[in-house]
Amino acid sequence: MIKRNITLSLVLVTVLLLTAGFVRAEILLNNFETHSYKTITTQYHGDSFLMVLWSVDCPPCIEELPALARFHQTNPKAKLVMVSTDSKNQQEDIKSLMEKHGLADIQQWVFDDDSIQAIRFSIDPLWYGELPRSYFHHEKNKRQAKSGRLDEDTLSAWITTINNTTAGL
Amino acid sequence: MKHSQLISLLLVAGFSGSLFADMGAMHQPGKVKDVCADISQPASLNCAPAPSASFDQKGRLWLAWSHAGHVYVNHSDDKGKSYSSPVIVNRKPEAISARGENRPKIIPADGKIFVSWITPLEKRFSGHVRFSVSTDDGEHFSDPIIVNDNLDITGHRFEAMSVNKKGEVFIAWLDKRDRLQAEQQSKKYHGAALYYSWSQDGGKTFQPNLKIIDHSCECCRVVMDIDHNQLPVILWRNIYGKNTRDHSLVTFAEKDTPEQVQRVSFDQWQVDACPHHGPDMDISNNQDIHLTWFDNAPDRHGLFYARRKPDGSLTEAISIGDYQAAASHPNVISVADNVWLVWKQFDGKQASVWLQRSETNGTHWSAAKKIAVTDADADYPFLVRDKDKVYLQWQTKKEGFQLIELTDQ
Repeated sequence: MIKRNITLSLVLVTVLLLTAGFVRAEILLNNFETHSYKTITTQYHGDSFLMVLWSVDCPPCIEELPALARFHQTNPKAKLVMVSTDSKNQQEDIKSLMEKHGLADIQQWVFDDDSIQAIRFSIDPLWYGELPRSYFHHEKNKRQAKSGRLDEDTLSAWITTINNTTAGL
Repeated sequence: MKHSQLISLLLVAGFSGSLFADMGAMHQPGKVKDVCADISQPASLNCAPAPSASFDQKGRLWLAWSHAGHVYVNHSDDKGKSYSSPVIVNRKPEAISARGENRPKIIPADGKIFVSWITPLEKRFSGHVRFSVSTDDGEHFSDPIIVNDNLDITGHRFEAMSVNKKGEVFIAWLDKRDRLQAEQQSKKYHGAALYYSWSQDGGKTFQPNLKIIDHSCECCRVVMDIDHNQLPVILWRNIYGKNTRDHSLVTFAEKDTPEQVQRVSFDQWQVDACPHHGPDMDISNNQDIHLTWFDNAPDRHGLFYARRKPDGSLTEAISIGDYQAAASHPNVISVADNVWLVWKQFDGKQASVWLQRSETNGTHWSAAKKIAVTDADADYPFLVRDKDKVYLQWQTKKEGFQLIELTDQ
């Protein structure tokens, strides 16, 4: 009887939480550590991809999300990686923003809280923490860094460059 | 437990998690087993994510920091060897901004202890400037008040506080009330305005808020000091033109009369981004203003130092720190012609604090030297003054809160 009550409670709570929006289709937030940048670049085997570093506490980061979302919709095969520099205890906020902007299906990471300065250094010793910060990866591991909000012109220019290369998307 | 009780408990847990998301930054779950990761542990200065410190006239060091929705104050009578038990400032818990550019501030003056902080609100980038004062040497604190007289759910954040010799309290902050109004009229407003207020009754009430300028950079700390007229001087990162984020300074003719804003850096960093990297300054006895800042423009990048002379002219900015080693977050302080300048670097393994010293009011400088290291994450370095002695305040994840004397370095 007690067991049945507990099961019933859990089912009821889950239904209520789902209704209230507390539980959602899970976005996998990978833990970004000092080796993660290497993992990501290895994963793409030298292909083109765009890694965007952002934060829920950065107004221009939020302002650039619609442009990224439109770009993602228009170019679903373009490889995007979103990396949040926030604390892991802000993951609900991170996930809800990604969902709201239709970016839930792309690769998501969040900084590991224990080694923020080492992580930043592992990506780029000359990145001083300004956000948003984007790394346009071209073929053969060539990359271009950009600080500041991405607009659609910049994203279009990047996709044109990619399309003009043999690898394409 | 009844169903309803269980549900209430879970909902409360969910709500609290979101309400205290900002303060939770200090309790970061990590792989390293450390006592700071356990939120059930008592409040501790060593675990506080972004503390502030300041000496009173008797040489007692006062500290303000946060834990689990409360600002705490404690003090040290032996230059950081031991600390008093912390006292809670805000009895009712609230979210408290305490990370990087944001932290509670504390100023002891004439037997009173003044404390300010930002409480973030539920809407993104919104917050109120909070203030409390103790008139019994830090044993009890007044119920916190809101300093911004506009209570829109928008940004009133990144506050700076100073207290003059008359006991008048000045607070300046970045304010988005005008931006909100513009947005409600479907107009664009870049950045945030800089507002300020002051209290002439020892912090019981604050005067109506006054605007200094529109369109300042919205995510860098603001700093303030008091000049020989007992009036504030404020330094912040401004937006020039479309997106050029250089620094500006304002002096005051009277408490309610800011003078013309003066641009003090000309690095031309054009970026539509949050630098998260505010400047610092210190006013010397002879009314020179020592200035230091970070910019990352293609031609002029890294840390800089310049001096504003009493006639308002500026010395040529000099580069400091190793740009290739992530030199960042500079801090400056002076005692007569002696000037100490510190900043943080990171070499891939260790974070370090570096010092350059001038004995000639900033005209000549010693070579940079490393004065502290840690192999874990670390806060920004801050300089604090106890009459003619100067100390480095540095919070690191591994060593906790440290106070290191620099007077003879």
